[in-house]
Amino acid sequence: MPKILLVEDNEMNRDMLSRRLEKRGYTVVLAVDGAAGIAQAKAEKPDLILMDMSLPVIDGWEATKQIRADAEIAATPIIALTAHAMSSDREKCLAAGCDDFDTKPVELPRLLAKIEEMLKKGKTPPA
Amino acid sequence: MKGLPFRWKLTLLIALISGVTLALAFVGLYVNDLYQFRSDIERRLETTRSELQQRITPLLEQNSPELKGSLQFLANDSLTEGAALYSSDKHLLDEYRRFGSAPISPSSTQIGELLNSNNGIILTTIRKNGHELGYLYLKAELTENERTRFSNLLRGAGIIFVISSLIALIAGYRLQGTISEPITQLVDAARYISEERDYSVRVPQHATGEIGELIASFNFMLGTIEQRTSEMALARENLHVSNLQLEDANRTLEVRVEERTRDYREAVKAADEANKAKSGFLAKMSHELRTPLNAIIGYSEILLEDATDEGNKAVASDLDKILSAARYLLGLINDVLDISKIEAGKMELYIETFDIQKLIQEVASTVQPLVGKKNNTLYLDCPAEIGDMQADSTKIRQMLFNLLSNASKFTEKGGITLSVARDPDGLHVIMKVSDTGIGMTPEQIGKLFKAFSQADASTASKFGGTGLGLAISLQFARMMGGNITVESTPGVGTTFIVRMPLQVQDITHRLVEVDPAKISIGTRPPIALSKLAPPPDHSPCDVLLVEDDPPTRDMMARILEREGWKVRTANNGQHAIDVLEQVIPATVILDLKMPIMNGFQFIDHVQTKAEWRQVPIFVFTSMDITQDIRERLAGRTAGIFQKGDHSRDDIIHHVQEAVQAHLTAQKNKQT
Repeated sequence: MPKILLVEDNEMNRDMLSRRLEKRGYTVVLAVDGAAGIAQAKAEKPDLILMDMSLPVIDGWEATKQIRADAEIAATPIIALTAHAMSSDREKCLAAGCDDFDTKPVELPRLLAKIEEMLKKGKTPPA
Repeated sequence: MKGLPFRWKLTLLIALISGVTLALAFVGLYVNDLYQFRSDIERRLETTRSELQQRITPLLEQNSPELKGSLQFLANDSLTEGAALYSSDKHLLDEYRRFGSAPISPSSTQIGELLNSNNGIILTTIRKNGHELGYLYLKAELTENERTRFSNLLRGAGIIFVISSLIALIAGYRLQGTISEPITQLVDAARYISEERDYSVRVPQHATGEIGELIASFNFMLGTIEQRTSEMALARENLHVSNLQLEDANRTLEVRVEERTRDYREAVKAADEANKAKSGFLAKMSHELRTPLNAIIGYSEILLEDATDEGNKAVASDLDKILSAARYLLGLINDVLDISKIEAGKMELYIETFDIQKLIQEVASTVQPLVGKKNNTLYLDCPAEIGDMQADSTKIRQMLFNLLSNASKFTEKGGITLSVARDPDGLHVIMKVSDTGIGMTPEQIGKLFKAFSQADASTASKFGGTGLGLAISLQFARMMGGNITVESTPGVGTTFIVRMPLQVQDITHRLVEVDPAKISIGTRPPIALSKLAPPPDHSPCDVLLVEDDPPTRDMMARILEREGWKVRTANNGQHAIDVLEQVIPATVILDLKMPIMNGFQFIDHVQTKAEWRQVPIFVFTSMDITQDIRERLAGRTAGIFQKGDHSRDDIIHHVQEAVQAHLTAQKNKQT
């Protein structure tokens, strides 16, 4: 079953999302800040990362950049999660190296659709 | 003579004239007297000669010895000074000489020369029967007689001259009283007036005739001048008083204007700050509210899934109610956040190209459950060939969703139609949402698009909803250069008409990357909206605001700036022309009544350059917009607005729409 790394500092959000993803059969590993997120990505080699953008220690944009810079894990698809639905945030996420973008509060069916699409794509290495 | 006073001139003139007249008379008299005296002498001399001739002729014939001494009897004649008798061979026969006289008889050689002399001298040839007998010479005593007569005459003339001169002097002196005196007085008065500027003096009116008239005219003239001077002084005084009053009024006005402006600025600043604080507060609150709400929604969803899986229908139903209440609350918070973003000017557009039909289908499937709730049917009318449009698809979606959920809220067991078509102008797309619901009265329509106001309170309690959806939708439409209008009949139904440009420009960023020179020649490249350049420091202006009243100008500029426009201001038409020389704005907002160059003159001037003519001009005036004004401005403005008659949104929307159309037209021109 695909392994998803959820990087989220808010405890409730982390709990809800991880439980609902697990319920749908995904293996979920967790990280509470950007630095932990990078470490987990290296240690766990997840199939996909759900990255909150406003994180302590290292924020989501910076963490994404560092992951993209690390050859070992650079190909991992990343979906950014942000509370701000501003178009500039979306631009920023994509510029930082995220593959997709979703807004919080999470609408589970929409997010699941994105996850599945991304996992399918992730099988083929990026050109 | 020239420098002499008038009275002496007059006296001398009289003396000169009488002197010359007398001298001429004296000369005439003398000449006449001399002539008469001469002719008298000659006549007497002639008488003497003929007597002598009669006496001498017989003696000469006989050549008598009595010839000698024949002339001596002339001693009795006082007239003759001397005489001589010559023979025919010019030999002196006898001679008479008065005592004391010099010998005067001419020599025989002189005789011929003296023959024709007549100056008191006679030389006669004595003849008898054509035979020359001798010559007789007579000389009259002239000198003494003549001298006496001449001196007598001169004495008389001298006496007359002296007397007449005296008379002339006396007359001149007397005349001075009648002629020169009034003139002298006139001169004195004129001198006094010219030196003292005192127009109250008058010259005494003694003289009559021309001088009298002269004095009367002079006095009349003085009277007129005096009157004018006093009137002028009075007018000057009045003017001075008026000036003082005006200055005073000006000062008061300035102070009041200053006070008002300060009050106004403070009020605007306070309102601005309050508005910002409100928006900030709402944004923060919304965020703070959303976090726990997300938890409520999320856990409710988890529990609902569990309950559904376990088949616990009662719990599932309750959880469903919690979820829908929480979602409603989230929607409300999102709406509030949107409204506050719009008001704070922070709402952004994300413009992309998308297929219209696909978007309509998605909206329809999203809204389908909502429509079905009250047993309504959704009808779609969207031709497949409608093609793409360029806009913020999320906001279009949200607008349509708002209108459709609104329609399904107020319609029961009826039909809701979403129809989409291109506007015949080829530049817009028209989306209509019609329902067969309860409809609205005109009063209700009036309040429809205002934030936090539903048609009425009872409607709100019956149908729910915040009333924000329509306000947000309208704002979104306007942000993209479109508009929403509504037609409704109570009890029959309502139709909302969304008219959007097919090519939406991002107004908030649109002009920052536009080179003004390129606008003017119409070669502006299409903007790559996904790659908006950061605004350069020297951004050109969107709006040229021409208004002479500083508070109004400030206010309008502030409103426009808050909408994200770059504003240049000018305080009159001339100033605006100066701005146009530097940069061509996307639009001009123009006051009509201004100093130096008013709005009409500005519009006339703008017609002189092709690149200026293309800029849409909106007239904002406090003047009465009469038919005359409309005719004067016909075809040269994009719109005429009465100040105070239009809401801020209305104005912004109109300007935005015009600029949008202007830019689209320019873009079409390029392709």
